[in-house]
Amino acid sequence: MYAASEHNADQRTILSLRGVTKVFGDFTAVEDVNLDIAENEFFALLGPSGCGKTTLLRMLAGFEMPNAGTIHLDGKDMSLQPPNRRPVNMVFQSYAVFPHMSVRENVAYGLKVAGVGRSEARDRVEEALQLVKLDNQADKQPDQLSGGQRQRVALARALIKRPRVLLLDEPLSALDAKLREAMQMELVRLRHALGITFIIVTHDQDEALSMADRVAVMNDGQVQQVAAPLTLYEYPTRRFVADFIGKMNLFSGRLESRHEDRLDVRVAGLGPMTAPTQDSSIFEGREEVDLAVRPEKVRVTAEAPEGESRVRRQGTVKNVAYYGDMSYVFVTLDGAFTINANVQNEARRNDPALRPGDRVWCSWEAHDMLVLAD
Amino acid sequence: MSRSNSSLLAPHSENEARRPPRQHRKLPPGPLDYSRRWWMRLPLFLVFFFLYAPMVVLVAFSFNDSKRNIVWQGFTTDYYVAAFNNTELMEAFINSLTIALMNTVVATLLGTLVAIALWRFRFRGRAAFEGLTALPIVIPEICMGVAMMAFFARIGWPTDLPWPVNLVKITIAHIAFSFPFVAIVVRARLSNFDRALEEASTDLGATQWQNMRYILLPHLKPAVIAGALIAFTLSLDDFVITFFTAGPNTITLPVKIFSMVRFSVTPEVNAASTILILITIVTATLAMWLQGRSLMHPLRSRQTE
Ligand SMILES: Nc1ncnc2c1ncn2[C@@H]1O[C@H](COP(=O)(O)OP(=O)(O)O)[C@@H](O)[C@H]1O
Ligand SMILES: [Mg+2]
Repeated sequence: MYAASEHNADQRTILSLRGVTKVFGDFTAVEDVNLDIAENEFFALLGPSGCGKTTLLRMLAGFEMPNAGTIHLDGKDMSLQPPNRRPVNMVFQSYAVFPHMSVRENVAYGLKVAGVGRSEARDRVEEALQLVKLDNQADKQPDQLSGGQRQRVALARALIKRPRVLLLDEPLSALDAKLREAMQMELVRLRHALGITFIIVTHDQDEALSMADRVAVMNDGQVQQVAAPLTLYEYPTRRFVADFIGKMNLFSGRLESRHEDRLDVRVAGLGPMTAPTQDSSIFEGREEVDLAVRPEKVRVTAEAPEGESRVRRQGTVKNVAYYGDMSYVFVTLDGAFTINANVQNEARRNDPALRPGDRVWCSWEAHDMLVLAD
Repeated sequence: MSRSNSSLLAPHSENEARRPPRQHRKLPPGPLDYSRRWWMRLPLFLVFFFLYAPMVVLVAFSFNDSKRNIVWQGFTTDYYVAAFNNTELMEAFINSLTIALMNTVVATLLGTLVAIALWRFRFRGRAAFEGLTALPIVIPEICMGVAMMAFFARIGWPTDLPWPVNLVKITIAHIAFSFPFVAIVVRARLSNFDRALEEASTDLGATQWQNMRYILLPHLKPAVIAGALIAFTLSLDDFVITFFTAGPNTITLPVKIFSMVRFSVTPEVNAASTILILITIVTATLAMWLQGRSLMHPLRSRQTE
């Protein structure tokens, strides 16, 4: 029923973090992070600004040393290795393209400092430039390039080192919307072409969900949940994740009784209901629990809906936000809270299907409901 | 209302747009229009007059065909020839150039390293050290000159050394007051160095030394050159400190000119001074141009984004 939150067993773990913690003064930027990242995985660190994503990435690159915990790469302890000794390369948020070097010199830099022979270096530079489609810009200076091109330079410069893991810090945040979409596809293509593990930091959930194999959601320096995009969206386990990713109706209820795979909960104004759970033991001893249901799982109908398994309640339309293909409908349920539903505008109409003040039924499948730990 | 009206009456509004622009009114001078107020133009003129008139006269009279420097008699370059044939003057000039070159090399190196150390490292007493470094800039030159003289006498610095070793004493004094200027210029350039470049370099496998050589120094280059030129001019035309540290065999050009002027201001003195002015102006202009470029560069590359 649930997609595995751990990566597939047949994939080898390349990077393993145990209890990784970083403290600045008396401020804990990253706290007790445990992660296993598989070979060739496209892994995303997602979270709001200031939650410690960059700090965690910089510890992987070697620019920050963890105050506690270990980082193993290919089974070797890397925790205190300096950045120039790690088979890991980084694409910086600002790209950090060397301004006094041409595109070609930038890309060749990592080989030059490593003392790679001239003819081998030339071939590898050409290859890297072709890979990021910059072979016809090779002799330009960075200030003649657009933002997107500069990013490609940064990418080629890192990839030429053939890193075991490529780290990308908010690689798309400085690009405009169109370029960002193109670059997203480009990154996915590169990952498949090269078979390198990618770890990308982002605060943009669409980016993380659409590109990554697995996503770690962070908040306040802690990893909240690690899962594949689908699992993260459909089965968030914690209130922060449910709220942060996508839109969500959240309401709290009183825990009546606990079964192995479900909880009986009484919600004020809605009455008793049963919500499925993966692991009911985490709710032991709790009186209050958070329940959630996605707006697109809520159906709004004029007539009382059919179906035994549906949670249903009558209410009054409070507000309708029209978006063309769909509308966000806010319905105040009788004697309860306001709930948000997405209504697809399937058939062409000349006037709105729903208006504020309309009496409607809201309903959703009981198994679409979520119970959240905090 | 008026908006919809004008769009309904489109031909009319088009006519209006084609009408020639109204004659501009002559506006009163704005707060920053200094040059349009006569009483602000006057001090400006006076400043330029007193600053440049003496120099123009000095240069002009170096070409005056007269032994006495008072009335214009006609054009000649004889005094330049005389200056070049004056062995004492030429010796002083060569001493000055030698000192300036030695000073430039050491002061540039020292100033650059001090600037990098102050920027790169955190250590106890850093602020105090930074203040001490800048001290020679604010200390009255005469005090520094006297202090230098007393210092060299106290430690018993030998006086009868062969050329050019005998110039080392003056050079040390010059380095002491000129390296802070280099440090300040380089420090300014360092403050807009993007640390991410250094990190990117390290990430790509570079050692600390490679970072310095391939990333930091290329960034600093214009400031280092500007600093070197400043150190060169400071040393070349320094009089006060040199006067106190020079011996009978280590006369520099400014000191020599001073001693010549004490007898009489001849066109020969004018010629020597003109050459000194020329060298100073050329190096100072070069320094300012380079420094301006080095400070502008990051802005320029940001604008193109
Ligand atoms: N070198 C540092 N010294 C002190 N605090 C830091 C340092 N680097 C990051 N922080 C703090 O750690 C927190 C997390 O920062 P960061 O990892 O950059 O967040 P994110 O990338 O998720 O936006 C922030 O509150 C930031 O102020
Ligand atoms: Mg960040």
